[in-house]
Amino acid sequence: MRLSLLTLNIRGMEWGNTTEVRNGILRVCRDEALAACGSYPGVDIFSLHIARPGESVRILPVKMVAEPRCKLSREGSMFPGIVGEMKQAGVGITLALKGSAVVVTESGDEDLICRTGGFIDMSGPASAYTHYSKIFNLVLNARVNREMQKEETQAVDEACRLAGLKLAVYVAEKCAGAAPDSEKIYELPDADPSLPGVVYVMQLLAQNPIVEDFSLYGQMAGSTMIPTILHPNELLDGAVVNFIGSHCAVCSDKQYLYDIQNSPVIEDFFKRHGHTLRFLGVILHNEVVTLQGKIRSGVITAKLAKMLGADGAVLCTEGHGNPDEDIMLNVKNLEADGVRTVIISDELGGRDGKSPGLADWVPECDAMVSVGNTHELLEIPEAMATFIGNERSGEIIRVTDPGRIVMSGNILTQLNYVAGSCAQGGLGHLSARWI
Amino acid sequence: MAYRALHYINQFFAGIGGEDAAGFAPETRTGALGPGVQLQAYFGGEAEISATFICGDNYFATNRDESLALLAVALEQCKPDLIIAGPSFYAGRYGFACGHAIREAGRLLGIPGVAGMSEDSPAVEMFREDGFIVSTGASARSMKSALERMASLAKKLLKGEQLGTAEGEGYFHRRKRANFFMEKNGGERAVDMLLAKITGEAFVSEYTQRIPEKAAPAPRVADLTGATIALLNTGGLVPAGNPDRIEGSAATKFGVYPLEGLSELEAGKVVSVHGGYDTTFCDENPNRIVPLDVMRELEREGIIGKIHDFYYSTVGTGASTSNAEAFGRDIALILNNAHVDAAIMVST
Repeated sequence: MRLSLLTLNIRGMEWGNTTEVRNGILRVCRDEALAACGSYPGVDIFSLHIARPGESVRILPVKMVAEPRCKLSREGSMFPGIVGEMKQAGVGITLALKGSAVVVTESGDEDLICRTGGFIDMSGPASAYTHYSKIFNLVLNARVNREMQKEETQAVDEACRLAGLKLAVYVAEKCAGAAPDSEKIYELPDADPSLPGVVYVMQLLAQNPIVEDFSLYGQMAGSTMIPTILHPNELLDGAVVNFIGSHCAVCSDKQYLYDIQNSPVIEDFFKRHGHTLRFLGVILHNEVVTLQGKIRSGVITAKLAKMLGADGAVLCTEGHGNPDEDIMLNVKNLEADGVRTVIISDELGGRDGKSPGLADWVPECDAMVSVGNTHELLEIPEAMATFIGNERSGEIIRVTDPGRIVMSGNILTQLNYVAGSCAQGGLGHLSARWI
Repeated sequence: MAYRALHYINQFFAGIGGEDAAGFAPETRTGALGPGVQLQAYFGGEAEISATFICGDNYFATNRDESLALLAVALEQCKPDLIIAGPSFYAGRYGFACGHAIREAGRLLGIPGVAGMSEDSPAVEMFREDGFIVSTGASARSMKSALERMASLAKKLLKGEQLGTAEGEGYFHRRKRANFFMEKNGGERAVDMLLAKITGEAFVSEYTQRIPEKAAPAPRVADLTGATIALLNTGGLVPAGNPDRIEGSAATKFGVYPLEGLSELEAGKVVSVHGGYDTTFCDENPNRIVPLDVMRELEREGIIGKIHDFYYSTVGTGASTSNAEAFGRDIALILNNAHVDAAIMVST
């Protein structure tokens, strides 16, 4: 499987009469872009905003972050089975607009039913903690239909998901004529069999049998899926779509689509393939809520790793709490099969950093990369000059702590509300250490 | 103005005597003494040792309370900004005395404490959370570097400078975690670690923790007809308006709400503030989380004895296990005192 990834480096974002990229500046035709999003009963109206690094802008809640991408070849399709034709992902030519993202937020949820807590500040203290503050964001604000939000939360989420994906494809397609800044080939040629074989085990949340936690080629995967093998190109190229829907107060350790498209573990495995390791593939693993289900998925993931001939695995997780059981089960099973493991996880160490970070631990788990204590408190300005999203959601991200004096004009929040700050795909640079 | 420090040392380092003088009763002297002279030199004028508290190792071991009471008087008189103790290297009794001294000063004045001990000194495990125990060699041969590092850390603490990691600053960590930015991203670090692990090279896990204790289930209730049953939940059920401001995730508290005289929980009066599941079904009928309606039926039919008069709520999602454990212990204690025989715990 061979994927050619062409990239355009986006260094600015402006409104324009046509959507195009020139000298690294992405111009967006607002009306045309809005039309590309489609219309849905769950959303009264969409609006578009630009949020640039360094600006005084707060976006809340953050339901989706996706890198604009499209296919430039007849081969393949972008987000197959959802907004793209049902075709093989990870082949042909893909164009990616690096340094930019489509961010989906919502407004009009006066009853605070959505209750999703992630925010992005484009400047100020919180901006240091998430890569989404450092890129040019085209923000799609869905003004939800209040009645639909009450009765059909999932229909509203689905509208946001589809609109976000369509917008990400639209923007990239409009830039298809520009000369790319770089090209990179992703393929896994035969490698020296004496090199250690490695797999990437990607665990995604699957917490409700009727909620579309994530999908594979457009099929709701979530809790109905059996762990399966993917070529890494498929994961990079839109085969797996993850969406942070309603009822997700903690957004720091979720896997936003942007992080899957830019998985640093996959990137690094490709780089070292044939030199210090053999990259065998990706195992997509679902974190379900039943004990039977956790054991089932664990058994199958370990079997797949073994069938692939893996000597080692990097495992990443999504969420915390019950998913900690999934990663510990995987570590236990894989180590028992002789597959050496390293996990990537955040810590829920409490505001004082004194609590055990994970809900469970096994003796076999001796190698973890920490992406930070997500309970750490953070003082942020009460408001930014521009707010995009649902003002009512502000109460979710605001915390009080008797031990902290907060400067006037500021509020206290917790890192778990900063979208992507402790992203367990490993894209960030944050870590926790002993003090 | 220079910061003030109080220095704790034993009879040996004060030059009073060795084992023969270990019964030496506490004495406070003005200024620096023994290793304190060098320590003060390392402070470079930014801090001074205002007083030195000397205590014999045996005296402290056998008269701990009296020794600490005398230390309290010295602290009161000296009003230091920091306490520095030792270094005691591998010494057992001296190490414990140093540990107690920094703990007591922290407790009384809220000031930071710096000690110096070797890795295998038994006092390290006991006092590492009470202050900054700088890692030293096993004996006084490493005095110079120990004092240098203790002084450097003390100065940073006095000036309120941001500290790096425990490892970087050279002290035994206080069993606390804090966030730092790394040069490489998490994914690259994971691949580096995996290759090291596969090839048998040394690697350092960025985190490990103890295996959680498994709680044994309580024995079954032999006779329900006489039992008082309590209703608990982690589904975030609270009276409308959320009077205790229980957080929708990463909860720092639990709430206790009355059930007396109610035959069921009424929609609108009780709502869920949980931030991790679709609460529509619960808000439509809160008895789906706190099943008061059916429990009252069982009570009327005499299948159970009585429903405890309060329900207990918190939000499970995103909670630290320390908080969760503390809530559990507190609730269990209340229930025990109220002679509750069993509880239904509804998690969401």
